Amino acid sequence: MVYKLHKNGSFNIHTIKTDRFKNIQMEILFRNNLDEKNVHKRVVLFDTLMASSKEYKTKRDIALKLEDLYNASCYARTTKIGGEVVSSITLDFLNPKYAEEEYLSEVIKLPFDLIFSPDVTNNEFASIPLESVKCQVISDIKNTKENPKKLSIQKALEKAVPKSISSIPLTGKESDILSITPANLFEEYTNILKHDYIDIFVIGDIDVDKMISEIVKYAAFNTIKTHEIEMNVLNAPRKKAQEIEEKSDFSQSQLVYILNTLNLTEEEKRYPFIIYNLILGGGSLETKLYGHLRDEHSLCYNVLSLFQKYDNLEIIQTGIDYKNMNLAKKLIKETLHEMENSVTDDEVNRAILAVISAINISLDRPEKIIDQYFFEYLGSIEPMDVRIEKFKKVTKEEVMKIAKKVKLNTIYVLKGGEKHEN
Amino acid sequence: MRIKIAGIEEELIKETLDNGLDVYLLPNEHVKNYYLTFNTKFGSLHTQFKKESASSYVKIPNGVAHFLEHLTFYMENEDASTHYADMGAMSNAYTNFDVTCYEVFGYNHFKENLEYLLDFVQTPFYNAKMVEAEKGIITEEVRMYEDSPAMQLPFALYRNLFEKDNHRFLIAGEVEDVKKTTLKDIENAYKTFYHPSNMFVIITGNFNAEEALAIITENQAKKKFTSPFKIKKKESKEPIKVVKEFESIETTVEIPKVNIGLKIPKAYFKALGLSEVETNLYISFIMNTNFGISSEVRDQLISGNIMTEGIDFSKFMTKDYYILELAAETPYPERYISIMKEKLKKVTITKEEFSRKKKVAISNFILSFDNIEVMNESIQMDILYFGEFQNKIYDIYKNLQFDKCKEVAKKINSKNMSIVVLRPFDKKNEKDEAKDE
Repeated sequence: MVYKLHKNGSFNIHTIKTDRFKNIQMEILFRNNLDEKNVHKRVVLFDTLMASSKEYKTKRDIALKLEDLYNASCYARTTKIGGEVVSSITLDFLNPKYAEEEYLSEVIKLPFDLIFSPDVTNNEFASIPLESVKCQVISDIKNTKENPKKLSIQKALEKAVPKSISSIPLTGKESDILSITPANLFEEYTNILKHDYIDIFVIGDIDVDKMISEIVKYAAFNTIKTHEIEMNVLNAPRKKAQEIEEKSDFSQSQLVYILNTLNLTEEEKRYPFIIYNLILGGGSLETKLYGHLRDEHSLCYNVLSLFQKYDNLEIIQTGIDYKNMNLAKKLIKETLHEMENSVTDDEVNRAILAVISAINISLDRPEKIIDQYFFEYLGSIEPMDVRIEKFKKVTKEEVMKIAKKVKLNTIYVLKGGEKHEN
Repeated sequence: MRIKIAGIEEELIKETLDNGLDVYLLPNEHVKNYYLTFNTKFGSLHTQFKKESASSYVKIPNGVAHFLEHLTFYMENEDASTHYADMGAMSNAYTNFDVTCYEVFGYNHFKENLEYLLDFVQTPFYNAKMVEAEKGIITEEVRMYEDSPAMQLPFALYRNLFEKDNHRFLIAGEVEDVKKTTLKDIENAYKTFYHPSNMFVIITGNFNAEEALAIITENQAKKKFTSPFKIKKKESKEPIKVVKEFESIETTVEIPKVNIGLKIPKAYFKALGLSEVETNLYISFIMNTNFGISSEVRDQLISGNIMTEGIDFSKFMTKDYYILELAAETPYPERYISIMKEKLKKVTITKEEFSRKKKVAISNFILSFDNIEVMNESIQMDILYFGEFQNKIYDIYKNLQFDKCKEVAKKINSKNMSIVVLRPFDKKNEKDEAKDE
């Protein structure tokens, strides 16, 4: 795998040459500081760009074109990384060696056509595709309310850090989406093209020079950016932890813990705290929380912890029967205490193996390889081999020490199960 | 036996061991990881069964295949998933209608991880106390599904499509099924369905095929099994008519969701002289053309704000029927249903659309070989639905004929259709009820 950075003034092209895949993936990444007043517009904007353009008037026209291009796929996604917002346009396509001569140029042109030739007249986006996208985003907002796990975490964050960027959903509220107009969306569009940092990643068995010349031909970004982007969000801990309970119509009750991490150094966030989280409840079936809540007491099917590195928050979430709520809280409290004084070498080794395994597994997925190089370029993670070596050196003493740098902020219960109480 | 895969320079190795276990190996030296699956042809459908020689059928509650999947991970001194975590590998399992599958994902310790997979699945360790303890966990899993519209929508439809067929039951069973499951039920299921002759191993990814075969052969030779036997699964004759044509359910959704199910007898297609594989491919082409991402009806529904995302098309086969499902989210279920009903009356395909779908299918076929999980699943599906790995899919795609496709399209109809709508709770009614109290 050979990685190269090609600077182009107003944007960068990152090429990753590998014969591991038969397809090629290109990601066009737009990033900037998260602007809480306009972030919902950004979500709508990128979906609108994918829904119509001057040449392709409807989503169907775009879909037909993609099918003609050997079923290439092209989609947009906006995500939040602490205080930074990243919107990506991904193009997945067949290696041109399996297709006709002109295929590469034709397929690369498509996402740039969608970006630079939007369906705009007199500085206003076409209203029909925009209204459809708005409906879709409103439905996404409503769908969060159908998902007990997502809903309980969102509500817990709103209670724990109410004024923070960390508790703001990207899509905003339904009223925010309804207030988007063809004209104000165009303002957002010009603003993003002017002020976002642009990085284009391409991975696959590519002819690097040919690929760069094709991208440069169509990528008409032309402003140079120099401002700082701040990913780290400082969420102040609460003097006294709060406990909040709300009702729902769900069968199962949801229990969420929001904890602040206190003054972790960059190195602590990158290594020992990742191991801390994996031992506590980070995804595998071997965690302390899983052992105490599921294996020993049969209280739940799933319990997990999430480390929101850039938000400096640790989240614990599980779905349980309401009648077991007090026992679950007692067990979680004991588990957090156990993290401070009873972590074993076996647990640390297992967590290290899990993280190394996850790094290795990511190497078979083009999007994960792009993520690695992207975050490495941003300086927020180290190269893969360095990461593996540093993870291997984490000790149980470091993990227990870091466990003291966690402070409970909020316990949130979304009560369900009314219909099962008998 | 080496099986050449048409259209692509790949080979699959297949062997059947003396104990009846089938082994499928598809190495890929370009990737870093390997993916092991150990499968038993035992899913939620199989609740009445017997060894061919036995006089009477055994009946077990719904959800036992899934319950047994949970218990299989317990070993005498450890949990199998802990072992894999210690080896830096990832393990998991799932149960669906037709199969229980144990899976391991790793990048090193190939031999140890493969041997351990064979061992933990073939070393049952559970007692009545463990069965009781597991009930709490599975009950919470079932409750989690009860709160998931993505699970409610298909199963509400299946209850209305099927009168006798076990597809109408949840894979994990209901809470009551879980409660009544006994150690005896688990043992009966294990003894019958976990014999090697009812199982198969599939390995995809980066590994040495010769070595893999040697490891499996040696491992199995050390174990004692009864002679291979045939299993008879009792299946009730499913009537052609759907149980209920329409149902509206109030539940924890914010936007209504609609699932339309067509129950089409396989017999309708018999006269066309097609294989099941071909019929399946034609149906996919037709349904994707008419309801997929590039269809006119999708465009009409989205641009009219009748539908928010797309139409999610899926299909599966029972012994006698093709079941075609079209699920979508819509703020206007009545209008959506009316448009879809009209469209279903004239399902068709043009020559141009047919050629485009063929091109798309061939491209997808080539790209699927990059993904070791997709390939593993694709081999599994071939075995479960067509009895054997399909190595000539590429040739079949190439030889699909537009005229035949049109004939298949004529057979797709909504004579036996059921529609389910999930709607938000009527808050107004709730208020009225509160007043009454």
